[in-house]
Amino acid sequence: MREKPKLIGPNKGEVFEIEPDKNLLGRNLELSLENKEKFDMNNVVAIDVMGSIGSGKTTLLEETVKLLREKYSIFVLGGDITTTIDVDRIARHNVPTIQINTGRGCHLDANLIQNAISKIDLSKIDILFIENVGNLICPAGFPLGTSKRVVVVSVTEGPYMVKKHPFIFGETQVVVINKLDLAEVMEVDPHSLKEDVHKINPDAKVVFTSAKHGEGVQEFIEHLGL
Amino acid sequence: MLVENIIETAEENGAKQVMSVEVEIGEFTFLNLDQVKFCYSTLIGDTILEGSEIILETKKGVVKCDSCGYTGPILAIDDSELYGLGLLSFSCPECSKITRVIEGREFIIRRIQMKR
Repeated sequence: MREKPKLIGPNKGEVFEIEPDKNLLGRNLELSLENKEKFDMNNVVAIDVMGSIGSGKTTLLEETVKLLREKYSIFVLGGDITTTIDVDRIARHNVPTIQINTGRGCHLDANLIQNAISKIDLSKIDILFIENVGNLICPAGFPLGTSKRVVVVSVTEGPYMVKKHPFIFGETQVVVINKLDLAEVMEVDPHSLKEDVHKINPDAKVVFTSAKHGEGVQEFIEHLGL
Repeated sequence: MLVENIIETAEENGAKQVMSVEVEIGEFTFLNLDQVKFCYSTLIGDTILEGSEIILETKKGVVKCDSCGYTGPILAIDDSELYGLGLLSFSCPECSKITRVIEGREFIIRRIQMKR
């Protein structure tokens, strides 16, 4: 038997360097591409719904599934820190849901989505909505593998919400400006928010909604291409 | 994640002690360098990284326009409300079409200096 070649390395106590060039965020991107492949294989339209805490993501999804549930088989994944309040609200409309509790995590990542979708039969689903954790910062850096990303921003968050978070609007296809019915009392001009979105991302489709009253929801659905 | 990865890589290479680590951080990760340093110093106690130095290098973001071919820094629109920082825009500075990010999302362990 041939002798194992002797590994020539630094001696004990010797200082040496290595260059691993390891991209720590690269793993999320790889996993997101795997998720995308699974969605595409099963003809699932996956949509990541992001937005601040209290911007109206759940209300918008409730109204959206009400209009779509007859036509499509819908599944909703909800990301939240601790509770199941949001997915329970959506489940009331007879749509299957799974809750992903992130604990202290402020965003969903591609790995959490991969674990969640391994528990679902994707071949039976047409549309998968993923309600991200309420946050306009971190979710921007963690693509999940969805074909569309939506950001919900509401007039009650004040006039600077879009400007302050350019990154999340940069790679978003649809921006929802919600709570339009409160714009006047809030003294926030929704059109100026829309202009800000287009300054950052000229391709983004912008829709005004009052999700609570179902207004603009049909237009939102059209912008999603559904 | 960063500290775990460094420990793992260093141990794979038979290190007993890590002296310094160089990490490259892209502009579009929006990681705060002071926070990264603080977290690093908090996490390395009682590990082979104890006493090591973390050297952070930032890398400028680069966007590319598929319409006109522009490749370069992101556009910052003048905006008095933003105290001169400018509103970051993904529009192309040359032709106003949408661009895509090609560099600036890095969070890379570039070099580890260690002792066996």
